Amino acid sequence: MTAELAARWPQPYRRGSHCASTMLANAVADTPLEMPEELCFVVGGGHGFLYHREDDLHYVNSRMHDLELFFAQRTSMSLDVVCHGSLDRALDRARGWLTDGWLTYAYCEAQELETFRSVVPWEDVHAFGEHVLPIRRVLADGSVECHDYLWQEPLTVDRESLDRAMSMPADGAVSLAAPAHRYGVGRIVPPAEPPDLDQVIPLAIRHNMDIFLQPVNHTQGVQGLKGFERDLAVLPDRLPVDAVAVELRSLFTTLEKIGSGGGAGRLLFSRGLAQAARRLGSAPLTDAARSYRDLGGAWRRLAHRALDRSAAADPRDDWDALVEEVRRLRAAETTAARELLTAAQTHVGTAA
Amino acid sequence: MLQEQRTDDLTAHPATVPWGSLLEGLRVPLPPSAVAVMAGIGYTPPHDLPLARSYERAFGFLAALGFHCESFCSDDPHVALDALQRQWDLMARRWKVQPVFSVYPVRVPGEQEETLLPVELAELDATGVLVRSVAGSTRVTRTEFLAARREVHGYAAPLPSMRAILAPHRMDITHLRRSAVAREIGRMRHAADGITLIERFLAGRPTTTDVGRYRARMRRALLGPGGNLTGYRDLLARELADAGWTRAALLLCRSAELHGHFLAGDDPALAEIVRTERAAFAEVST
Repeated sequence: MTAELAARWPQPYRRGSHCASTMLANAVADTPLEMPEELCFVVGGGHGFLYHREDDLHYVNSRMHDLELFFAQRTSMSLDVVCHGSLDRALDRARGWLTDGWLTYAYCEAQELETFRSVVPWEDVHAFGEHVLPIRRVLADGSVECHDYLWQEPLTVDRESLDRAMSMPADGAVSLAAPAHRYGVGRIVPPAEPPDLDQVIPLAIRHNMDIFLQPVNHTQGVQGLKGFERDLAVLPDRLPVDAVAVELRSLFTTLEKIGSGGGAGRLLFSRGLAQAARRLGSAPLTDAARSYRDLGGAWRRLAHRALDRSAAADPRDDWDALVEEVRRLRAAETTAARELLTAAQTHVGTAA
Repeated sequence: MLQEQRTDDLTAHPATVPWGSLLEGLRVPLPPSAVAVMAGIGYTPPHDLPLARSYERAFGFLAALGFHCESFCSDDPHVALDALQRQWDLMARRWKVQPVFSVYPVRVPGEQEETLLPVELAELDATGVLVRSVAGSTRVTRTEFLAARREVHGYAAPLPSMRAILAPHRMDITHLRRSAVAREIGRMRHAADGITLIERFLAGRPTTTDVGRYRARMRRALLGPGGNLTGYRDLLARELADAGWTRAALLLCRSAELHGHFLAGDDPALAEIVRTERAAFAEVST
């Protein structure tokens, strides 16, 4: 049985909550690797937390890594990703790959796309990670026909917008972030033989929980949560009132609006865990799915309280309550991750 | 068959060299056989694979260690060098600079033409960069670095885990090795650059000349100074045996012998290698 992918992105495109997991779900649709977006999110290690402070900027993200890269590793796929010196060269590569029948996509900044202008209040959010844009066709005038996760039908992005979005104008805004994929184009190379998803899924969950509980550095996972809680406690002492309001609005937008399906991605993750639990017949995974659904609700409440605060005359009033809420969330996240690690371990069996 | 004394001879595999300084500097107690397996000693492709795939393999190696990887790959050498310089400065600000993985044309002793090999890049400064490979170390100027002919130019930079930095002796090496060998077997079995490459090559009814050309390619790609191909299969066998997959290990030992026969000119051994390795894969749950 081969795992050949379609030569073109499916139409209608299956909509979703996050750009990369939606793209992957569309890529594997109607193949032996078929899985819904939520499960792609789980296999790609979509659960995480990242917190980084740089001067007055407090950057929060509910994920830690490039989901598509981890998904590829775990499913024996390959992603060939190449950046370019100009838009024309990037389009030449995309055109070539499309002609050869590869599912092709571009890296860009979502805030530079007209389609997203009205969807997210960009002025209320700090620059964040990269957006993936599945490409259907490169047109003669340098515009592209593409898909995006909120729409079923193809969209056309004109050359000027595409140039701006793929040039990654926010690259370097967070000084400790790695260089962005400028004019980056990727193609998805399927495995020659599909791996057994019943083995892939628990291994993916276990790895995801491992790197959440033992993160690579202080900005990620439980360490990132700890840093966030610590800095949040003193934020009103460090920043003027208007800057506090900006940080609260950014927190709301990153937790609730941007590419996470809301609730810091925990709701999407929870649905993926529930699908994994049904597939594996696992009661512990069902319990874990409930825990993450509750965590998603808690993050959502926190996000909305942050937004409400940002509009208050003095957002710093009763600040300790906000910090306490984050403290409770950190404890609950740690417990849930440990339980999920144990649950996944029971399904790994003799696999490594 | 699983001869411990052969291990030292095999650390010079082209794929393992770029990781030597990193692991040594961090004092991660990983045996050479595990490094070789994690670095991806899988199959020599009968034709060139996209070079970008090498950076993906580097990502996989670092992920298997519990590290993160920041990789960059561009069609423009100037763009790639700018990104490398940024990454270099970034590593220094975060903690300290670590050697990074790349692919670079290297002159291997005994070969007429330069060969693209996995390399370690270190000591980047305004004058140039140190390139270390299985063929040795050489310092190249920035101009030479930019002029090196490659389909794409890039790097894969490691972000070591806090555990590896602070307490490498507390890393669960047994678990890590078991996971890594299972992942590598999974990749050899399922991926587009796995055993299918050889199966498709054989299905195309190659002529004796084609097979001979492939044999030469296999030698060129894998035989660095001091290394030998059959031994690399033995390394994989040893990792499988240590992980408890004894039957698969024995089959890989048989495959090592068959590799020896193939390299000695026995064409049918290639098909036998495929059958033997398929049988080994079936013994490992990944």
